[in-house]
Amino acid sequence: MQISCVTLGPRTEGPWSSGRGIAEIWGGGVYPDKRWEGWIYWLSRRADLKLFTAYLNVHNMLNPYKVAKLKSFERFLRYMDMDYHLDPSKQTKMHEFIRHFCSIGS
Amino acid sequence: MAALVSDLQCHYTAICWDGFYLTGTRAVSDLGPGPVKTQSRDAQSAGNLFEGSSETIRSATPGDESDADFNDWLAGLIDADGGFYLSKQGYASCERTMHSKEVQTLAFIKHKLGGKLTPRLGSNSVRWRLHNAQGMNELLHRINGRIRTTTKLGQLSRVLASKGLELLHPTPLTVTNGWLSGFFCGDGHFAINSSNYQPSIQIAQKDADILRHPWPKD
Repeated sequence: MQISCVTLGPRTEGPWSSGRGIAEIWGGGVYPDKRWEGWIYWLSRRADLKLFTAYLNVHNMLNPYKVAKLKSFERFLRYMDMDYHLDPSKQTKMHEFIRHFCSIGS
Repeated sequence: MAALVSDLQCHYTAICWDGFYLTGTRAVSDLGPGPVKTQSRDAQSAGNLFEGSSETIRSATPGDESDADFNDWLAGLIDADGGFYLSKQGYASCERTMHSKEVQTLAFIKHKLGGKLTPRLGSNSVRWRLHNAQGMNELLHRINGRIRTTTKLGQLSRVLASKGLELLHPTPLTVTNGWLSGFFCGDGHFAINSSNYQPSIQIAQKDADILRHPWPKD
């Protein structure tokens, strides 16, 4: 996996009263979800996603269903790296892959 | 950063689909001392009743550090959707309910800590419940100082108080901490938008503080 381009930035531990949250450490944002009056943490930048998936490979989730999802998700990121999403001849493969991805665990 | 990347590259994940266990294995070239835990607990405990509960003693206890990753993961999982309860008679218990397709995770916890797995009627889910005193003591010993959400800290402090124990405050979250793995296992999910091929990782929570500041503010 190519993760050498991922940078963490100045993410050193802060003092107790000024520590960092999930969004500050991993990137992404926190948005209100009006459907159920809750909040949702959303990470979509590809470099951040790669770092997060690398983290989940080191710290095992101990959940076969989630690990299977993780493996498929990593494969999709590799497809994105290979620009499959921009190739018209790969559209069928991409849609089929997403359909398979969504069916994991169901 | 270089250390983190090399550490990430040297780990592999293996799934044993036939059993209940999943193991993280490391490359042979990386069979050295492993990741070094540089952080230290901020608070010093006192007045603990059972042996090894003091954080000073606990960090030096053989076998404890090897389970530190599991303990962080377990704390994250309970933070996501678990609960500590105290009966009117003063008996403490801990519960975690998951979908039946994730029962292997609960079976793994049961294997480590004991307790009972019960299918829930009508909801296609399974509950793990631990309520014997010895198991609860071990659980509290493992996760005290690792719980980060306000709600669970409140529940945990009541249970600890009933046993005469002191609540330890969690250390700041870092990329080397396994807590987020358990938290994501409980409340996170992967998504791919089929119309624009946008992949994303999401964690839904009722309380935004844990997403921004994973510990209660002073």
